[in-house]
Amino acid sequence: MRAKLFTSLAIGVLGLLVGLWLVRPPTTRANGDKHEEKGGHAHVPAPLEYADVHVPLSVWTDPAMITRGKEIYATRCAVCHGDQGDGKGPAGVALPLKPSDFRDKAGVAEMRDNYWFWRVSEGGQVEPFKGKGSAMPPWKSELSVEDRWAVMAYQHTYSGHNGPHVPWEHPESVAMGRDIFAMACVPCHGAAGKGDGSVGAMLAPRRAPQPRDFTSAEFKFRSTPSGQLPTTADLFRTLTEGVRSGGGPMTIGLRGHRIMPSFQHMSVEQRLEVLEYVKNLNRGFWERREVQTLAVAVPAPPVLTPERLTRGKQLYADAECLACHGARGRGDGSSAPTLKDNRDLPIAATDLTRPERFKNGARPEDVYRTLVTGLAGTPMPSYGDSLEPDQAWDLAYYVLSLSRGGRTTEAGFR
Amino acid sequence: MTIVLKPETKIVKFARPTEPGKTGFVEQQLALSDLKPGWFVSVTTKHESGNEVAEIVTVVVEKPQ
Repeated sequence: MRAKLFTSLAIGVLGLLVGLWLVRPPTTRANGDKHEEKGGHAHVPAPLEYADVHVPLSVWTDPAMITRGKEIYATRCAVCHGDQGDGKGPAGVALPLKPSDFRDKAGVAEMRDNYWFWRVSEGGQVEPFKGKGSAMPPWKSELSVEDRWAVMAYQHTYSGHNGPHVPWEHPESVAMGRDIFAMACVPCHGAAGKGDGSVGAMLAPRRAPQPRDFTSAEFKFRSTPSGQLPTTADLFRTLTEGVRSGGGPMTIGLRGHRIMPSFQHMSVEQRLEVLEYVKNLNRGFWERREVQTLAVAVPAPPVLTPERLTRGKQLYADAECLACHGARGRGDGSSAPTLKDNRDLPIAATDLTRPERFKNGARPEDVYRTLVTGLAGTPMPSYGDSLEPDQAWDLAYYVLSLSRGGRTTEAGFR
Repeated sequence: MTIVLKPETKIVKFARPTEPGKTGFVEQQLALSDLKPGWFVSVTTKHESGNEVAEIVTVVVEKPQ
C-alpha cells in the first residue's frame, strides 16, 4: 500500500517536473496586456549589456543631481519632450514615434531604470525603436553616465513619484517577470524566491544542491569575484542552460540529468523579464557600481600542449584539489565524505571525469571561470588570488583531461 | 529611402528666445547650407511624381561634428 502511494507520488512529481520543463509562458501578462505601449513605446527589457546598469538609489532624490539634470533637460531634451515633460515639445510634434510623456505616472512606473538608461544612451538607433521611426538621439557619447542619471532623475520628477525609481516601488515594472516566475520557478524556488518551493526539496532530498535563495547574497554561478552578486548575463546563462547534476530520482525527467531545467525554449525577452523580477528580490543588485568592470575577464583559451597538462597536474596536487576530487578526479578524495554546503547539507565533490555534469558548464572557459570565481556557498573555493591566468588555464585543461575519452578542449560539453 | 529637397522646402529649428524673461522655444528658419552632417532631423514629406519630397525639415538635435 505504501509502495503504491509512493509510486503514485513519484509519478505525480515526475509529471510536474516534465511539465515545468515544457512550460511555455505566455507572451502576454496574466491580465492579458502585452508589453504596455505608451504612444508606440514598448517597454521591452534592456539588453544584457545594459541590464546591470541600475541607477544608485540616492540619485533619484538627490537635489544636486535633479538640478544638474534640469539644466541638461532644458538644453537637450525639452525641444522634443517639452518644457512640461509632456512629450509636446515643438520638435517632437511631427515625429512618428511621439516623445515620452514623463507626466504619465503609469507609463513612467513601467520603465525600469536600466531600460530608461538604455534609451537615453542609445536613443532610437536600436531596435525595436529604430523600426518604429524613433528620432531620439543617442546621448552616450555626449553625456557622462552621471549626466544621464541626472537627466533621468529630473525627468522622473515629472511623474510626481517621490522616492527612488525601483521595482519595489513600482511592482508593475516587473509584472511580466513575476507572472513567468509564478509559472516556471515557484515550485522549486518558492513564492518569495527563498529556495523553499515544495518541489525543490525533493530534487535532492536532504542533500545539496538545493534551489537558490534569490534573497541571499550567495550565487554559485558567477563571472564576478568571490562574494559578489552575479551579472545579469551570469543569471541568463544559468537560466538558459540549466544546472546539470546527478540529483535524486525526481530529476530523471529533466533531460541530461539537470537539477535545474534549461529554459532556452523561452524567448530571450521572457528570460530577461523573469531575471528582472529575480533581481528585484535582492536589493544588492542596486547597491553596486561598475558591474561590467568587476566581472572576471576570461582570456581566450590558449593552445593545449602536453607541457600545459603536466603543469596542470602539478597544480592539481599543489592546490589540494585531490583532497576533495581525488587523485583521478572521481570526487572520491579523502575529504569528500565530510563536505557540507553553507546550509550544512552534505554535498558531493564533483566527479571531474563526468564533465557533462559540471554544474557551471564544461567548456574550457567555464572551467576557468569556476576556478577563478569559486562556487559560493559550497566548499569549492576561488583561486582568483592564488593562480595566474596562465596557471588557471593549465589547471582547467588538466581537469578536462580527467574526463572519459580524454576530451579536453574543442569538444567540450554543455 | 531618398528624400528630395526642393528650394521651397522649409528648414527650421527651435531655439530658446534671446529676449529676457521669455520662455519656451522660437522657430528659426535655416538655409540648406546650415545643416551639418550628423544632425538629427525629422522630415515631413509628401509623395510627388514617384518621389518623397521634403516639406519641412525640423532639426531635432544639432550634434557636434
